[in-house]
Amino acid sequence: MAPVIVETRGLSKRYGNGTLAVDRLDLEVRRGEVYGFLGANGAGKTTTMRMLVGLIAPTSGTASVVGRAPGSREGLARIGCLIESPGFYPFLSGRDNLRVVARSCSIPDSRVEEALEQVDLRPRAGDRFGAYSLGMKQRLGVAASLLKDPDLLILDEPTNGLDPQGMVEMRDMIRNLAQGERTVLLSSHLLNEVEHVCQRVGVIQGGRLIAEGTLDELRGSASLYVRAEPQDLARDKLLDMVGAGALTEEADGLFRLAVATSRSGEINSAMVNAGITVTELRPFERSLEETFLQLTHEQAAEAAEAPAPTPVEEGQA
Amino acid sequence: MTEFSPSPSPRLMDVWASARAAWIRIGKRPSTWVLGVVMLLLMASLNYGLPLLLILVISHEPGHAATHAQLQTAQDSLRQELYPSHFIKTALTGFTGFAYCAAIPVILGVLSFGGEYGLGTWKTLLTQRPSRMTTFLGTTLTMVGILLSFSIAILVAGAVISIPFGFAFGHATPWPGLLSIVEAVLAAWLTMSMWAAFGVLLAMLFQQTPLAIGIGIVYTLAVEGFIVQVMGAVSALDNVRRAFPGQNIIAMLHALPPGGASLVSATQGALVAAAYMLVFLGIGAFLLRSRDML
Repeated sequence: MAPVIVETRGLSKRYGNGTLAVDRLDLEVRRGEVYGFLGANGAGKTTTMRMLVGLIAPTSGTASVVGRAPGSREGLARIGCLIESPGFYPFLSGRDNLRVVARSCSIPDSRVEEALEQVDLRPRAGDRFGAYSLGMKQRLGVAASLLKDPDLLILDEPTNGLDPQGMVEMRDMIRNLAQGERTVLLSSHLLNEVEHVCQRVGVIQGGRLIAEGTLDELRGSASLYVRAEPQDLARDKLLDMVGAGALTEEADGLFRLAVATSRSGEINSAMVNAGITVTELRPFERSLEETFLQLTHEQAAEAAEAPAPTPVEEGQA
Repeated sequence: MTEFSPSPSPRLMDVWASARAAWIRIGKRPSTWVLGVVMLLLMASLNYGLPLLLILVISHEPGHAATHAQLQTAQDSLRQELYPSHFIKTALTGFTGFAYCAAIPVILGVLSFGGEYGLGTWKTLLTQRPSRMTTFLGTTLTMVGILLSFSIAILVAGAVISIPFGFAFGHATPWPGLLSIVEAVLAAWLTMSMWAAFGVLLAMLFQQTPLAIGIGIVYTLAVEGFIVQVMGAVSALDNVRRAFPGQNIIAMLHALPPGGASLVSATQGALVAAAYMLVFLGIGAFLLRSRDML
């Protein structure tokens, strides 16, 4: 198993107005993976990311990013990040904005051109940032995060505000950037985006991590739906083949089989040979959207039933 | 697992790198040089244009015989202000008599630091390798470097403007000594740096530019430029006046040729101005270091 590159334990953040934005978050991101940090707006994603790069201090808990303390010189040297909207100077060109970032890190100006090339922004690099489209601004933000050739890329809602074409381009870019050993921590509230780009996902709600795993783990096992006539014969045959534990009878004579979808051919042949007419046979896999909604609804229901949460201990950071 | 560590100690090379980065973002900000040009225009018009206008008005004043001598004295005094021998005092009049040489550095200080809040660029700067203190020091270094160029420019402009007046009035020489000119540059630099540091403090305190600029201008124009001057009419308040940065700056600048009366000694004035600058920057740095960057 790849080593952990981002780890938080009991990480919490309570703002001055009393809002508990992140609540005892335990997170693990492994080297080389694209980790999706999924949550609705206001779930605590950006606060978590700001803590990971040292922009805000946690109220309690600990964190390690690339083996260093968040915000440490050595840690930041290996991290590239884009937190919320890209923060650049509108009166400077895209190139000059990157030079500001490069000089801050003592990176030679030649690296600026490479980063511009990586995000396909070189032809417009001399234009003022203020004149850029939203998509170009986001790409410049990604270019800035690549200047250090970082081990870890932290991208907070990088497709925010982009049109569909821009979203597709940004996703392709993220997939390309994640080649090799580089780790990408991507926060998003867009399920489609996470589903297309990420290998592992953490779902955050109300500042708490409510689920974590690969996409398959979160979606649960795949299954098969079968509809056949006559129903009694079909039920007996399916019981013989998969056992009672894997068979669920749903409405309208539809049977749900908790088996690998690769067994569909075998099941179809066996039923036809037994004189049963198969009218429907299809694989079923829950979408991430269904999984997300189920997880968040379950969590919301639990929270409604549970007693008031214990206040976060302050001053432990 | 490691603890949160937003601000390790600054390293010299990183400070220099941050200063070079700040040179792009402050040096290429149009408002920086607009402020410099405005300062030069105000110096030329208020310190040289206004006395010249008064000289012309007086020379065309019919006047009675009794007032003629008084008018002549006033005219001579105004002419002297325009000679090259007086260019240091005249060029730096804005630092003592008019408050624009306080207000403009305050605005520059606010924009250099407060502008980052408005543009959302702190998060970009503070997630690079240098620490918050390094970024603060680098930005400060660039800001005071730009103010040094303003100081030199204002004295060079004063000297150049005084040349035609010197020839026109038959007083093209003497010129102040080189040492006095260097002292004048340093005094102007310290003055502007202190006011810019005040702007930095306001920017970090309010985390925005409009309020910080507003309060900075109100303080320099209303408090230092008016209230403290009015307090001068009451000698019992002299000790209170000595505590204000403006009075110490006036004392420092009055020590330059041709000289003038002051509330405190020039050395004390320079030390107090430097102390104020360090205190303003220190508090500003503390605020940047300790606050969350939202």
